[in-house]
Amino acid sequence: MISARNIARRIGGLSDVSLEVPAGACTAIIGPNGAGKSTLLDVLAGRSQADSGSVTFGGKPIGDWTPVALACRRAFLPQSLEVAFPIRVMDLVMLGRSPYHGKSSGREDRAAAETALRLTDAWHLRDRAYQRISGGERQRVQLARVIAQIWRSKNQAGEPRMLLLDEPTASLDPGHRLAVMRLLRDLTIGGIGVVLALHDLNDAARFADRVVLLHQGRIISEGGPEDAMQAEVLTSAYGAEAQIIRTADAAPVIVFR
Amino acid sequence: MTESSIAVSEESVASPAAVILPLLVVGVIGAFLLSVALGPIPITLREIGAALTGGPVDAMLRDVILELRIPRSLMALAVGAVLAVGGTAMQGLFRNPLADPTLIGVSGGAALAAASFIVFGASFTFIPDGLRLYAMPFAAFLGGMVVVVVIQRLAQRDGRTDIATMLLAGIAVNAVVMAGIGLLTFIGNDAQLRTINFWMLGSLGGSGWGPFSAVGPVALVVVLACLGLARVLDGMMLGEREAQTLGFNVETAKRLLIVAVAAGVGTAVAFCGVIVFVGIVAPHMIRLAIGPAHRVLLIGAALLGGILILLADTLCRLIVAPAELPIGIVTSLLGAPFFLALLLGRGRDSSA
Repeated sequence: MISARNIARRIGGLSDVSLEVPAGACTAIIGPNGAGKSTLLDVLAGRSQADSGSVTFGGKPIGDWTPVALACRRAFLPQSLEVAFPIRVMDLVMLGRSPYHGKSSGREDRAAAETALRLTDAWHLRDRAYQRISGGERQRVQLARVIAQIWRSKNQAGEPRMLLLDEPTASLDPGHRLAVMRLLRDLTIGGIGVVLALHDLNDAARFADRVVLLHQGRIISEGGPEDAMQAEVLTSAYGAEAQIIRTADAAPVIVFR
Repeated sequence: MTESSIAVSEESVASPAAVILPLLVVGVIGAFLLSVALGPIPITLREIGAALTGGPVDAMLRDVILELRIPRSLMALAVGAVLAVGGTAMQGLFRNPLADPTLIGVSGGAALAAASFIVFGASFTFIPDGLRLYAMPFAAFLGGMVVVVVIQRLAQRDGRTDIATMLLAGIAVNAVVMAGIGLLTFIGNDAQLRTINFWMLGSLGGSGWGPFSAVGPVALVVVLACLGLARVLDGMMLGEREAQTLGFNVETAKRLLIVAVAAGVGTAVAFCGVIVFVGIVAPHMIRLAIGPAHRVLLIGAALLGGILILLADTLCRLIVAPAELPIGIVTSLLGAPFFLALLLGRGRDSSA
């Protein structure tokens, strides 16, 4: 779905990264602070240009897409977001429907916004001011905005779509964190490709189909969670000794000591 | 939950707007009639009606109504609308509720050009007498545009306009412009000094059908242009990059907005001098009342800006009649405390 070849970017420190991000699967980008996760996500989303290398989206160079056509097919959730003026949560989520201006009816747009808010368990916040809700609530509302941006009614669901998320669970409580991870996995079942930068390796192990480990701007390990997250490579990337504890009934647990 | 009970974005933005916008329209009509009626010569509504419909009315009164008051009130409406819309657009662009058109240098550049014209204009003998009335506004307009272009060029980074740099460049260039005006007041004689001062404080005293025929159409085009960019301004609430990610052509929109605001405010300033505070107060009040969605915000701000200038100009004519106070004194004296009260009131509210 998104395919990056030999991309390098001096600002953000990416060098020679090649990556295939499929639709209908969840890809987690992990790595220590400053590894280049956010930069990679930006480049994959077509928000930043790489100094060299190429990025294609659905087989077509990402720069050849018109901004609106691309916006209907890929959405991006930044790490944190300040909204300039006091705005109602529902109106903020409706901003996600901007690319559909003149294409879908107001009713469809509102239905998409409502569905997205319900999916992120933020529907009850719809009439609140965005500036007055908590950090975790804001993160869920922004997630609803980007889901609304690529939402389709059932009869148009076939089109390939991507959701790129920069640490979407960073300020969430454990309950909401798990709910969001489950939601993202469910979205992939509906055909949406999900790429996310994650700090929680256990979430990556449990929910991602594929894991990409970035270290100093390069991919040092990649594959299924168990293959990509071996103790040795994690230890060298994070500079702390990683240990993988296997339990009989659940996914392996990664601890650092 | 049924479809009808779903809180619907557009409708619920519209619901305060559905009350406020008609009120503002009524307010504009009221303020307009008031500003036509009040002045050194009081005029009744009946006389206004008669003058407009060609009914029986004293010839001198008819002239006062048709040649002085009505063009002046139309001018106030246009200037108020364009200043408020300019303020709204700049606030959306800079993502800052305190931004106003002054930041992009249009007022400063216009003021410097006007002050230059006041001091040196007499030696510009090549200007035919018939065009003298428009020469100073034209110089002011040019001055405003030149400074805007300079500031925008300074803020270019890799082919895009860097808004933060633009803000800082604006402050620096405005300082230079103010120094230039200071120098001119130093060079000028007493009469010129008075003229510069008066102009810097703004006045609608020079209104007439001629100036209105320049300001009115420009104001209308600028308001419509900004309305056309309302959706981009909405997207800009999330920041430039997010607006781009939502598919908006942010770079083009920024340029169009800057040109529109520079042209609109430049024209207004050229004929009426520098009028402060309306560009900040009007959008701020409307945003508090009906929220930040720019389509209704721009319309509401335009209407409120018109009302504020109409009322302020009427006050200017009444307070020291038959003389006139510069309108900038009134907008600052009344606008600033009101604005402070709003800010403090809101601060208490949000800390509660």
